[in-house]
Amino acid sequence: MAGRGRGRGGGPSFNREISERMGIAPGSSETPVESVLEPPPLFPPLESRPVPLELGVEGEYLLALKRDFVGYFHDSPSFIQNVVVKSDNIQRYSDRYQNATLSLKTVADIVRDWSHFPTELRDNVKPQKIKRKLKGSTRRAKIPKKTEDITNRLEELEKREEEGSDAEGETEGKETEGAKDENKENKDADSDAEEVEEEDVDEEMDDGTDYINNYFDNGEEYLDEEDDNLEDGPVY
Amino acid sequence: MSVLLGKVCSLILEEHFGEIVSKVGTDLFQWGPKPLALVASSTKLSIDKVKQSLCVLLQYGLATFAPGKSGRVAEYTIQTEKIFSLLRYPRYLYLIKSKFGVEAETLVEEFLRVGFDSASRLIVKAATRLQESQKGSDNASAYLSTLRDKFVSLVNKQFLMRCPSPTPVDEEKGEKPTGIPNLTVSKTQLHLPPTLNMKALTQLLEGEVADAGDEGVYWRVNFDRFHQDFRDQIMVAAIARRIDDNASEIFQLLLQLMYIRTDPWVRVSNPIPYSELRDTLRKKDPQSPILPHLDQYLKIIEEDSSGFITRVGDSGGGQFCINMHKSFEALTWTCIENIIVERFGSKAARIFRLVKDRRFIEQEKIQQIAMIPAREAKQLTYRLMHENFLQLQELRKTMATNAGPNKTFFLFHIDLEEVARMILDLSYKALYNAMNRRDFETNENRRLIEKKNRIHSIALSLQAQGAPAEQLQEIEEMMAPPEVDLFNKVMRRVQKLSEAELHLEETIFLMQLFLSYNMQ
Amino acid sequence: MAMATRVKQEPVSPTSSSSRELCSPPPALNSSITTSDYEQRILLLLQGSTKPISDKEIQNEIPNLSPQERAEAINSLLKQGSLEIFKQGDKLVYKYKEPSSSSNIKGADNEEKIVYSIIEKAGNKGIWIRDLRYESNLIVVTLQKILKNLENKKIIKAVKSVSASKKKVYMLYSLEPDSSVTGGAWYNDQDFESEFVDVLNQQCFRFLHQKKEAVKNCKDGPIAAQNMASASSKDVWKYISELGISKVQLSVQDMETILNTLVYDGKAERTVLADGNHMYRAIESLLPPPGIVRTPCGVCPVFNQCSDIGSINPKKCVYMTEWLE
Repeated sequence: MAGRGRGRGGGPSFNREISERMGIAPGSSETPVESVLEPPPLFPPLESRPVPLELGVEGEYLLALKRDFVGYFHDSPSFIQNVVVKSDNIQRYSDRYQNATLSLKTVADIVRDWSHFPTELRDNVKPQKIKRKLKGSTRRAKIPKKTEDITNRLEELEKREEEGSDAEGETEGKETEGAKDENKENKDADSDAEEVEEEDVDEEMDDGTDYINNYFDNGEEYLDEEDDNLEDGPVY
Repeated sequence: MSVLLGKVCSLILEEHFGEIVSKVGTDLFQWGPKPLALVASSTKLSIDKVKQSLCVLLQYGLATFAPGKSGRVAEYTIQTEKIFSLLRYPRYLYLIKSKFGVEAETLVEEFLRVGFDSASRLIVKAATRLQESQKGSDNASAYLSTLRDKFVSLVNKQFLMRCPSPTPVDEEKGEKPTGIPNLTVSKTQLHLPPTLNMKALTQLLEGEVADAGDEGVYWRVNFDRFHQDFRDQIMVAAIARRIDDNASEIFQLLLQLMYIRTDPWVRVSNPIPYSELRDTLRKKDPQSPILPHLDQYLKIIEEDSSGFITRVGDSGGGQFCINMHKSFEALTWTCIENIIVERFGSKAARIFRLVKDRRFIEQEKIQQIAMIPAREAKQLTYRLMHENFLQLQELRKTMATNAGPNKTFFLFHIDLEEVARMILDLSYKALYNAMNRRDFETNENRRLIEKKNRIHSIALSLQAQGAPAEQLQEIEEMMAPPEVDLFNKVMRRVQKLSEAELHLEETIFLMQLFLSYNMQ
Repeated sequence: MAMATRVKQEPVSPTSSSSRELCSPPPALNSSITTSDYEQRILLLLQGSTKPISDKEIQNEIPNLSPQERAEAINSLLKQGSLEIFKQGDKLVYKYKEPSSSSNIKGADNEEKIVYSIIEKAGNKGIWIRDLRYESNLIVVTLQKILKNLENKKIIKAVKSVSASKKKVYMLYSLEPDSSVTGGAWYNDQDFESEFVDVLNQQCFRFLHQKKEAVKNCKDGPIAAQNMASASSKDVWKYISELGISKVQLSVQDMETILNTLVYDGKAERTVLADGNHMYRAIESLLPPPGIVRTPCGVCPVFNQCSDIGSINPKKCVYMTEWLE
């Protein structure tokens, strides 16, 4: 479609013909041309106003529902993002008031029944990676502690899943197996650390500079793992 | 598929599930069905992230998978309609609430939140939530049986439907597992409610392990069924506006009777006899003031230019058909005309209706019949054509192939489908703009919003602990009055934009519905 | 093709015995028979034949008539408008003609006569000069001269047509131009009275709307209510006439034209009864204003240029900012 009729009524000659036939001379007021020698305003004054919005009580309710939904999804495991957490040992005032339900977000929390999904999606899916600011020594020192916590965590999760979902029954077998595998993995602390390091390097490149990442930290991120949960604990 | 629809869907995904899921979804939208590896390479995301995103998309039914050509690699297809339906979740819930009550609403909300899940699990979840929100003296188990009943009702009425299950690999037949499950569901299973063990449900509620009897059986929301009701609501409201409330009540009954004998999405219903309508009304309300005038109302509805129903026979006191396609054609015309009135003025709308009535008409006739001064008429006609509301057809007066403007008829006409598509695109764009702007407003004032949220949650927790008023006051004062003002302003803007989005979704629904009937 | 020409005296061979009577008819010979008698006889001859009659045939029929007398008689009949002359090959033939109002024209050209008859045929709708040229087959210059002549004699007049301001149609002076030419009640001297039309439109709507409101509490059933809310074009015409807002006398037909614009405004619906009467009643739109026109995008003049890139985008949109306040 030709642009709006500002400026000369140029365009294919067809339009010219039509305009002339219809008695609208190009350059007349029907195809408005600014007689002043300046470019037409970017946002010309409105000819008519929009009709007022009318929603009423029903509308308010709908909007509240929408806010609820979006809020829920935001906090749910389904909201996937590149996660960045400060890993120094400073306790933050803000940590206390962050949403305490932000616990382990893993794909397993999203997926209800793996048998409904192609197997390729299941293999090697790690829980959401947390980028750490590495300090080599602290890293190593942490790992044994992590393993302990991981085992505890795993038990908790297993328990939760059992009571929560019947569906897991089918895949339960596979999952406990998986859990055992992961346990083995974690006991191999060094290789784990290396793995984590490598991936961290990659993610660092993905996520941009530290400055930006830090800036986005405070609003939405996971809690500092020292105080509360262990995000790195794999679930299966 | 419309490019604009794709853009809107990207925003919807981003709003609900974040940027990464949105990237994956957009990639699938732009390139069509693809396997996992290709998505990863073109989005440049890590394989893990892509897997997670696909899991999310599949869980919520926003994408599906199928074996690709080779049969061994799964290809993922994005379901744009389902993504768009995310915008309608509040409407779905409101419908359930009005029709079935708050327990059913909570239950459906659980389904929407999770995508698909087993009945027992979600009933238990809903019971817990209801207990928390109602803060009644009943414990949660009191809700269980109501929820179970509501669940069965929802399944019977087809608001919920059974998810397809994987067919087991028959190793005896030599089938090998491909890693790509083949999901099927039979028609009978689709709306067959499960029998749930109530005792087990109570146990689950307590946190114990129990088998409620529906292992491996999953349910999800049937969006089409909701859309059916939305469609009916539009028609009923239109009749109420055009005629009166009694007529719309009658029309509602007609719709009810239509479903007994006709598939809900056909263009024209099977005939409904007058006698049946009368009996139904009588049963519903024997004292109804409509009864003595029932046949009159039917006549009026039938004769109205909107053409919602037609009388097709005389047996049984008259047989009536509902014209779905025609109704939505009339509604689409009205919608377009109303847009023209606001955008170009009432004289332009008059011209449009005139061209619609005459089908093909010359400029001169337009001026004459519409009683608009020649110059203004030409201006408006040209403008409507320029914006693609009117189309131009040339007919040569002579046999010569190069007849000039003096030897050709220029006839205006309207291609309704083309105009409807244009309006749909306009609406997508307006929706995109509103969402974009809302995002912008939120981001610009992000720190402020976060601060307010923090203060709010602190205040709430302090209140729960029974803190004294002075402490609460202190917390409130953490935000200075001008900040509070700005916050309120921003909230008002966001609110307004959200309202606009709701309205736009309604227009989009209407246009999509019409176009789908047209393409049937 | 027939051509009108003046009757000329044809050269007659000098050997003819009657040649001596060429220049002046001997009065004695013709004393018993007057010129008008000859005219009558020629007329009778013409009337009796469906084909045009040639000079020779007249001569055969009336041998006593000298060529000069013949010529005079024919000229006289021509002036009376009782016959028409045509040329067939290189001879003249004559045909009887009903002496209609062409008796008005005395001393007019035959060319003029032809132009006149074409204009006469066009009645009160008049005929455009181009069509006139086509039918009469005269060249522009001649035609224009004739038209000017006739206009000066106040036999015809030119009327400007409303359908195209440059178009002039010619019609007989005494005729009242048809409304398709003048525009009827809606035109005041070529100017379309749009305010007048708008006012009428509004008043008609008010009338119908009031009728509809009055029926709201009707208990007699919907059809009765609808009938009471309906008005025939005559009813509306009566109401408007009584309002006295029109300087010009409007017809029922005029009223229907206005009522039809209301129908095209989507504000009224028209039904045709079995007796041919047109009934109108006010109606409501099927839908409230759609979502898109409740946002600035719906009325935005630069909507097509709006995109994520470029200076016109939703984040910086001035209309949005204004609307959001």
